[in-house]
Amino acid sequence: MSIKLEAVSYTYMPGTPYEKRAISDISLEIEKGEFVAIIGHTGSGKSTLVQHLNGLLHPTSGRVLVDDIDLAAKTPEAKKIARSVGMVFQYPEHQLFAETIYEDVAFGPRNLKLDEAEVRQRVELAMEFVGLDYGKFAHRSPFHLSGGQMRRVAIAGVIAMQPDYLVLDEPSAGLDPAARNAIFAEIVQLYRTRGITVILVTHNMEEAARLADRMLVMAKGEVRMDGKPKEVFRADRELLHAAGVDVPRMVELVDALRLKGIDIPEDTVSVDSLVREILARQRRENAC
Amino acid sequence: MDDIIIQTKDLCHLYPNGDGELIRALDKVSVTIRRGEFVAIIGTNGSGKSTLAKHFNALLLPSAGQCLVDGLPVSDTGDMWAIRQKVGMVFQNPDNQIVAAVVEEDVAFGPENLGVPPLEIRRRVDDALAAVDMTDYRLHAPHLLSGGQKQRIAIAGVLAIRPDCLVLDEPTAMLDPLGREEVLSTVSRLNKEQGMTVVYITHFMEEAVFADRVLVMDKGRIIREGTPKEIFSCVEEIAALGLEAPLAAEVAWHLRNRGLDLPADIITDEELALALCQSN
Repeated sequence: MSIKLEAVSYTYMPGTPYEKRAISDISLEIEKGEFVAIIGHTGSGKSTLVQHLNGLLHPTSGRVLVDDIDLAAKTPEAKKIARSVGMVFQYPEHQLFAETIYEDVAFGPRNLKLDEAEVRQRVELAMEFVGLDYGKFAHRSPFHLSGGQMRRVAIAGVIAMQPDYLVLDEPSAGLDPAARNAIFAEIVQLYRTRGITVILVTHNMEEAARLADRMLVMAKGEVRMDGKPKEVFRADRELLHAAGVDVPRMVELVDALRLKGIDIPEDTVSVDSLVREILARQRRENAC
Repeated sequence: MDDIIIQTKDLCHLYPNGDGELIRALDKVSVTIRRGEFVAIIGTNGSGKSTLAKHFNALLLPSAGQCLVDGLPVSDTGDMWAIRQKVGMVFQNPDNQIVAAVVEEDVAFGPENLGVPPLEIRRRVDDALAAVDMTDYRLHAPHLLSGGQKQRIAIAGVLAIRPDCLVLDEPTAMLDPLGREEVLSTVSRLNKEQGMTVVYITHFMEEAVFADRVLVMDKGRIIREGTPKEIFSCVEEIAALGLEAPLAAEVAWHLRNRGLDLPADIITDEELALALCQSN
């Protein structure tokens, strides 16, 4: 069970003066149950890549297989399997349209031709998952909510489809730290309790480093690095810089301290461990 | 009075929510913005930051209290156009602020609508594009630029109106790290070199560190006001509001709590590194 890309390339508007190759020759496999972060500069091909994962785009060359089924095949199986990949776009709240939150979240499940009792159950579950009280919110308009709440409604709409793979494109953009943390906590909970695969496109390096087991760094339409976040952020700073990717704030701080001769391990990633390291070092120095 | 560009006195703004209840988005806010200042406003979603900013150029009008722009009350609709020329706004989404198919035409849109003579428009557009370092792109199509470039074009469009004050409502929220850096350094340069008054709303605390003064909003009130050092060294208080202090401030706070003798006003990486070197 996996999403597998075999030598995938995609060219926008081929054969026109606007022809542009967005991704080139990407081969990779995302196993069920992984939490993968995709990072890269604007224009690096991240969004083009993720739009292949549920068949919104089909490769110009190469294949995308979800659970061994080619998404480009014009078969009912291909159509069905594409639905197992849920996609939360950037600023998903712009896609809200219904008069009530219930109607908005129910739109997807109804398209699956589920009976209304099942639809209702899915809406309740999805709203509970994103922390919106069903009794309080179900029959309100989604347009009178705060930005963070609107985004939760949009995410609930995707969760109600009960996907096996969940792709999120910049889910925290424009949210304050509290709303950002709440949304990420919900995604992690979903990942842990449902065992779904999460593919997170993000600029937020802290989140990528903290949440993902695996990180893909994209630049100029290619996957330049693929590894554990710790390895990626420590491996090749120049490559990261060239890819237009900021290292996490913690890595920057540790670098700044080491530059001044404060000797703490390079792979310190949390505030707690940094505080412990500095205190231990201070005690050592005082003992001399 | 002359050095004050914006002043609010007990400014309130009420609006009805979906259930017909009145929401108090601003609750007796009194602030003063002086000419040439760089003021950052921080606070969680729904704290009233944008509502406050929208009073600064009469996009919203006070339910009670006053908002004066260069001495003119925004509630006096006869002065609305004068006020909007004094205070220019830049919003979050650059795509929503672009109107023309060529960069320089987009920048010219504001002065054209004000009936500025053509030669003067030419000069203003050139100046504005130079100020945001986008002169080389003047004949490009704006929709093909990067997010950071688009946002700089939006800023140029406001500058061409020759405002006294620039109000930016989360201008970097939709940008990648490179674009964020471009916009912040442009705004900060306009403030330092041209003395432009800047009101900068952000969720990125590391950006607020560049301001002269930080206003912290919560539930429609301004609950704290001070220099970045004064605000961000209160790590606990900032966290309690659902915001995050800069990382160096947080680490310094933990270290002080564990008995390390460090200055209370550390907010940048360099300051922390220096203080640790000296404490040996």
